[in-house]
Amino acid sequence: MGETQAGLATEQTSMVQRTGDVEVDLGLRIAQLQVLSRALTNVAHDIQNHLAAINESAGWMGDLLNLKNKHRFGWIGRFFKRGERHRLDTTPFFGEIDTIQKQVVHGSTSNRRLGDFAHRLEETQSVFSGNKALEEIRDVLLKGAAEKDVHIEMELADGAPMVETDPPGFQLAVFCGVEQVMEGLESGDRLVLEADVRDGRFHVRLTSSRRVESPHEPPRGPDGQDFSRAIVQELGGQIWKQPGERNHITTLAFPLAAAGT
Amino acid sequence: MKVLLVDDEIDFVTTLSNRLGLRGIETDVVHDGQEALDYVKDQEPDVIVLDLKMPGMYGMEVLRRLSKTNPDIQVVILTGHGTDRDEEEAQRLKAFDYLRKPTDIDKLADRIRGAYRFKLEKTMAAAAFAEAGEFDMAKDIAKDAERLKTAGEIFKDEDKDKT
Repeated sequence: MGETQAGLATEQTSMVQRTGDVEVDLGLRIAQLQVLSRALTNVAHDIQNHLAAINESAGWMGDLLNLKNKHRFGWIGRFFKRGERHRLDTTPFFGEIDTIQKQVVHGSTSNRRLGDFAHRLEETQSVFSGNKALEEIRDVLLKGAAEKDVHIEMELADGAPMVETDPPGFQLAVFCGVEQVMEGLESGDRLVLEADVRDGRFHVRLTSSRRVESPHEPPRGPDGQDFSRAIVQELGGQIWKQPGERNHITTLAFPLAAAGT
Repeated sequence: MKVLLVDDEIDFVTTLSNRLGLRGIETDVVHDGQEALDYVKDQEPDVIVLDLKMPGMYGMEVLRRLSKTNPDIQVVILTGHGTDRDEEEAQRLKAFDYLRKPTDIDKLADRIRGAYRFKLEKTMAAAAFAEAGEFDMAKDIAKDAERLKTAGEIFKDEDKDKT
């Protein structure tokens, strides 16, 4: 009897110790995530400023070339020889400037999404646009999808109300869900991310063009639970997986923000 | 029209000032929030193009102070850092517009002109009512920027149609 009690006490102490270790570990992870998020937000901001400066400089070159065309013998005309024979054809210059500015726009769109994604990691429970968060996830996933030659499509819910939950949790749940599906896909396959609002919830549906015969082992938490399922449930949402004849559908549902928020 | 550009990215803001100059918008430039507030004390600009993340004082704090001391100055936020929350806060503090870097120069020039036009309309309408002896109405107009801001919104929609 005494031995049993002592055994129970030892086990209890050990469980408390393990729980404490997990909490410390979790605290450290959260701190790491916050530092990483702040660093990433700052880097994204710096990159955005550099892109803006490149954009303005390229635009300024275009302005000067335009000036040259308008006032050939003005102050800038001294850089060019007079007469039609020596007239500088500016078309290629404008072409290059246009290319630079287009690349800046592409770069800045991706960078802005990365910055927003990083910024969301700092927040806990908040109201945000589910559509925007999905666009950020898609951008983060595009490179990996391209390497695997998987085509990602997205159909967003037009005018969808805001979602109210933990933003990093939302992103992590969708990210894990997509990663799980992606693992089962092969070159030339397609993955469609759709968002819509039904039954007062923001639904994210992931449809793969292939039936995943041997589903990839999902990432699991310390207690062995499916990670994305655990996160979605923690956020007050739901997740369904429907393997079909020729495809595989995963649906995640998240709570909407109360009206007026 | 007197326009002030506030941005700590010197190369960027210098080029921006040159480009706006070519479009008929002459500008003065300062590089931080405190400088902007000092400038406003000496010479009140019609429109301020304001960055958010700057050394010393965050741009939103500049906007907050201006909304109390100089509510007639129209502020266009131009930032590379903005978050959804910043955008909401700028809206609450009655910033005329919120743009993200990099932006199209002609779009920015249109927004600056729109902000100036909005300020003029607001001032003129208030003056007209005051002249007609409608002092309460004049006071309302001076206070209630949102009512006349509709004019600014229409202006913006016209721009969107163009692009």
